[in-house]
Amino acid sequence: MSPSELSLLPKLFWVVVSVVGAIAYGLVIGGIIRKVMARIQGRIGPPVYQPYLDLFKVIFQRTATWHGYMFYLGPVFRAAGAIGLFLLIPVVFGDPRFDNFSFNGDLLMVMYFMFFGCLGMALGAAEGGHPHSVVAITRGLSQMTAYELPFSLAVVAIAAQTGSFSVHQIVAAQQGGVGHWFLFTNPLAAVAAFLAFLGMNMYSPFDIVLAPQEIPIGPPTEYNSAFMSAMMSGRAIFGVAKCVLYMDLFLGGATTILAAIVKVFFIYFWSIFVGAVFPRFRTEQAVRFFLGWPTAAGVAAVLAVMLF
Amino acid sequence: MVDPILLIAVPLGIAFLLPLVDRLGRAASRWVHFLTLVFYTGAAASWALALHKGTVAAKDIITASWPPPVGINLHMGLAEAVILSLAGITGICAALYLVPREEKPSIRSIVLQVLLLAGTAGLTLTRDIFNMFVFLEITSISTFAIVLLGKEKKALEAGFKYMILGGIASVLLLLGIAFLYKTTGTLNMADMAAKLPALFTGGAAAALVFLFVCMVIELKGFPLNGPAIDLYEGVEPGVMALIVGTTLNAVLFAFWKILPLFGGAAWEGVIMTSGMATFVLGNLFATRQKKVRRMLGYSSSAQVGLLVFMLPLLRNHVVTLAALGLLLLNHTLAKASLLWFTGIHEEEEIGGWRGAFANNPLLRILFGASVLAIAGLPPFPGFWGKWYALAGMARSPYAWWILPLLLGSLLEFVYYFRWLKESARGVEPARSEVVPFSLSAPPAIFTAIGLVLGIRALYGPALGVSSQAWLWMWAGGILLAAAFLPERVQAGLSFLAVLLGSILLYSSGALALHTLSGFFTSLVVIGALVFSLARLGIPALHRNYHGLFLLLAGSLLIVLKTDSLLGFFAGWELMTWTSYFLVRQGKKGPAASYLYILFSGAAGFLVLGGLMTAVAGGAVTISGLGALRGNTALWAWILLAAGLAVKVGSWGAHIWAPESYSEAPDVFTPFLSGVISKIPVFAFLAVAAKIALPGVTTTLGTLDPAWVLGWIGGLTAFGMTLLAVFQDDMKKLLAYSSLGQVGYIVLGFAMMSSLGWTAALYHSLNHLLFKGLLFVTIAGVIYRTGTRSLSDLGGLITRMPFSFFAVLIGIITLSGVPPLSGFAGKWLLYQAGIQKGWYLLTALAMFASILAFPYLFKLIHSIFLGQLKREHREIREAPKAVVLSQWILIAGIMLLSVAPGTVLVPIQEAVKAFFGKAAFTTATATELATDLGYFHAMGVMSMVVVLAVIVLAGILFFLPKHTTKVKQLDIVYSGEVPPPPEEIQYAQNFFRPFERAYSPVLLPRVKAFWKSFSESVLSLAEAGRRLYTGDGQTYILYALGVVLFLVLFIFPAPASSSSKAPGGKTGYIVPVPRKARPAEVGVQAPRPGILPGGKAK
Repeated sequence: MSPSELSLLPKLFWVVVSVVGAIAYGLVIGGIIRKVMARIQGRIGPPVYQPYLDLFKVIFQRTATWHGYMFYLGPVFRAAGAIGLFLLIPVVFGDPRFDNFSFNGDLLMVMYFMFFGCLGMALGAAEGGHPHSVVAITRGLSQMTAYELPFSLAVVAIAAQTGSFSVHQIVAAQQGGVGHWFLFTNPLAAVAAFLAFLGMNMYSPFDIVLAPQEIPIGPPTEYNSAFMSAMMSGRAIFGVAKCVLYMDLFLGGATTILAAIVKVFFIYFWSIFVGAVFPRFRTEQAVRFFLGWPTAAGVAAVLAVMLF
Repeated sequence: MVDPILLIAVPLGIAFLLPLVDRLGRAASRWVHFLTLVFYTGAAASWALALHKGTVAAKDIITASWPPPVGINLHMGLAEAVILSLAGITGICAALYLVPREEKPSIRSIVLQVLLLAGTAGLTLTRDIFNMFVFLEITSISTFAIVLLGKEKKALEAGFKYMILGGIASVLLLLGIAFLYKTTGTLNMADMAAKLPALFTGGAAAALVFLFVCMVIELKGFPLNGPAIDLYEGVEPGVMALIVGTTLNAVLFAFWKILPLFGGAAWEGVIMTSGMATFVLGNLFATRQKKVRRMLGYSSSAQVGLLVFMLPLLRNHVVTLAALGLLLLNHTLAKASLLWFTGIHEEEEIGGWRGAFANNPLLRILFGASVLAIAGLPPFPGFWGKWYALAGMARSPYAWWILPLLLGSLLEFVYYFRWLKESARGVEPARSEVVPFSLSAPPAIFTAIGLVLGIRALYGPALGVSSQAWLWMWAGGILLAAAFLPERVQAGLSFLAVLLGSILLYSSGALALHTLSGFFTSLVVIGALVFSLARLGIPALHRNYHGLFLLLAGSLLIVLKTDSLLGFFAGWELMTWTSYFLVRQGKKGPAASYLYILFSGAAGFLVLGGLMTAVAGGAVTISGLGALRGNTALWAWILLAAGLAVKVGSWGAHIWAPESYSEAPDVFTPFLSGVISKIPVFAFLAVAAKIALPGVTTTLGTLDPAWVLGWIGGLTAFGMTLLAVFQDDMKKLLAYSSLGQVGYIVLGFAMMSSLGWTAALYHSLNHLLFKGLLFVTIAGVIYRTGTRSLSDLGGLITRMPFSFFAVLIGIITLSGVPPLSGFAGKWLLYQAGIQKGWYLLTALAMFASILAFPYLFKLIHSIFLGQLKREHREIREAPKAVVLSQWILIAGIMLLSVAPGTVLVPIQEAVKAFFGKAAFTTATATELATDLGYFHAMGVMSMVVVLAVIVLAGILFFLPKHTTKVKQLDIVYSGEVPPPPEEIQYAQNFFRPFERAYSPVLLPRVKAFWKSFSESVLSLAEAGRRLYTGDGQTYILYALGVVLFLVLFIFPAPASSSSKAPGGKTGYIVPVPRKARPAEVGVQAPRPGILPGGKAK
């Protein structure tokens, strides 16, 4: 537990900077992803700043309809959940400016806070009344429960190894060189967690939840205009937050902003590159996949901690 | 004091005079009969009272001025007086009962009834063995005759078979007496017992075998009970009730009197084995019976077998006379009542009992009470008798006999509660039964006697039943008696009683959170208050509901407050049956509650086994459990933990719970899930945990039993959560969810650490709040829509917005997502797991908690989101009382969300008392930290609220002001609008891919296991039942077989007939040391202080 050394106002200033920066960076990554995928598929692809254009477009779009209060609250939960998640994770180790509100809770808090947005989103989309959004939500929930098992095992392994659930302490335990990263000191946990990450990020082969091309299903089709912008920025910061978490857990955190940016980029692109190569799983295949080797790796990681 | 000999002489004389009196008219003979009975009962009862108070001494009567051993002497002691009083009361009730039942009342019936009483008195009082034979003949002949008065073919056939076997018994008895007389030269029992060991011969050995087999036949021992059971089936139940209350007890007492003759370990083993075999097998065979009276026959045989089993224990001072007396009293009272009921509702087959006494609430209550009594549940005398008997056995070398005894008792639950299940009200309009007073009075009198004695016992100061608990229970009793009041009035009164009781509890300081008992009492009070409030909005289905509910709450207070092991178990069993009757009140409750009582019964017996192990270790109070050491501590702990695991529905023993939770009345389920499921947890905490505390390393090899329990908890959390995902019945979904949540609590307790216990206690409270909220809200939805099926609902958010909000809060809390209070529970539990080093289990718990998301979404979506069904467009919000109780619970959740410390700080104090170590390094109302992690509840809440407000403001700012709310059917279906508009709600096969993924683990293996288990038991019963062919010759063969078996294998004649040869081979030749065989016990008056009739000692 390291309470912030900053007083409230500077704290708030840096929090706003962090959040805006994270959203901006998330959008850039989104652009890069589209570019990279296009190149892999032999297309030219949109410019890297395309997500910014999209975001501004939807912000100023108008909608003439609404579906009820819960429908409003969906994107609110989603965006607030994503930003809240980001704010619970310290970004730069030892730098109070980028420590965010991480004194509010430890790793367990971060884990459970991830669901906050998902739940709100699911409820909001479901109130739209479109049966297809519910189909997508059930797929998403099924997949989420599955990848959480290897992820939980990895978290338990790391917490047991560190003797703490505090993200600060976990990062602190990895200082002193690349060799101290949990990626290397507990490779099995890293395997489990990084495989779980593929599901968490919902890119191919685990993208049936969004089913981006073929059928218009899922929450994104239900929302437009300002709702959509909230969701887009939420998704951008959510992606970054997850990568920051993984960075803190496995890559020794970051001591400078630059290191954070680089590490987040590589973690993010791990799922993109996998997605570029592998075709899509059906939901039950995805569930079984996560309950298979990733879980085995996680169990092995925990056993390794218990035995050694 | 009336001269005891008049108890024989008067009825005998009257019996001969009655035909003359009858000349004056039937009324006259009835009056004479009645007066005789009153005299008989009055005389016996006055003896019993006087002996009980000690104002007179036990009396020996010498007949014909010849002192024993030459003359015949009688003895009147307390046991005799009680047995005869009971016989007298039974005689009165039976006479009353038989009046309207006989088509052509003949004087013979009355004469025989009186003769039976005379025989009973003689059999009970005499101390001369030949005289005993004479009275046995008198009773036997009267029995045959009264049985043969029945004109039915069945009765005649049964009576004939009974007579043949009875004849054999008489012959054996006579032969035995003759041999003994030849050996000892005396007929006086005490004299004979004193002389026999010195003069023992082969002839005496055979004589004892004959005597024993005679007793087996007379007392319906296995396998010679065939004719007696036929008798129950064929003969008028009023007559059978009379026999149960008179002859049977007298013969049992006669056996007790000649017991000193059966010296030696071998005889002790034979008698006990025979009794126990009769008990267990009789109950086993009864499970297969479809005919009610035959079932009662098996049950009688079994119960008497149990008493026979205890006779040697009584002789060895293992079991007190009081305990045995209570068991005998209970059996007579309950069995006679049940027999009378089979006469009032004359259906042979158990299936024909559907809707029995539906129009007669008094008879229904009495019938239920009789079943409770015979099953040995409190407050009836059998419960106390069983406890004292078991406690005596536990402290003796006979402790292992407790095992078959409990097994047999559980089998009793199986068939008696099946009977109760079958007798539940049917769908067809119940036939109207007009029951004359003289038919319903006898069972009422007997039940009242049992109840009064039992309640007196419950008032025993050693039991520690608090006056608060009594207040709740008496309120419940009064409401039960006032069940004729309109439902609304009862609900109001019940709520007032709960409110008053809660205020009194609060003002007496019983709700202090920093003690375990206070914490759990608070749970009970919160649950009772909030759910009683909700019930004001949703009427109960049955008028007994409110009274039973208060009784249940009172029994919970007993469990939570008492320090006595007996008081604890009495409260526990009271809780079992009151909740059973409440579950039974649901629409499909009878079937579900049957499973409930079977598993609760099994759990109860496991707990009893654990407590008995503790008693064996010398413990009497809960606080004394800490003194247990070694294996005693280990086994007590294991049995208690097993009972707990069954009672909370752990994986493997969970099949009862979803049914019970979902079929119980909608307004009762929240209490069942929120409060009652926590009581076993408290029990474990208060009782079992004490055992391990004082540093007893309870390890089974390298295996820590607590670790096993932890895995049971973890697997339950996982398995039940997974099953919840696939439920379409919303109550069943929440039921599985409850089981899973209690799994976490068990896991927390199993950790046996301050953090683990803190997690479990916190989760207990939190689970009460959120699961109560969900169940209450669901009850409102069911009340309005009339369906429990999720796929029938949808889109109710517009119609029931408050209920939607309540469910939303409930599911967020359950899921453990911050910022609501559920998170703190998960946070504590995982840290406790890591601290304990149970890493895999912690990960499993995390996984299980995340598996809850799918079903939570399913719950809220299928009911409230998606598209509203046409038929639900006019649905109203739940009743105001329900909404109000929702808000109370939500307020509680919100308080815990921002300031979990308000509860966690006292909990920490409570737990510290056990482990000496605080769970937290920092603990304020809003901020918590442990060695492992930290959590700022207020900070997270404010962060979430601020962020949500900012985002919402942003969206509202950018949205245009004029938007149209889209109606349900204004949606795009991939560019096409389906004509005509119809609702499309995704609710069937909701998680189909998920189900496919998990299909290998979803096979119903546990159900299959229990099914095959019960089938095996029943087929075993079926196979054993075939022993009784119904053929008199077979029965004779059995009798011969038993004699031969005993003579040839167990007591082979000594090689030399010399009485002085104490052969090492055969056990009986060795004269039993005088000290170990107090032959006088049988002829002495029971020592003052051992008082049958319920004084707990």
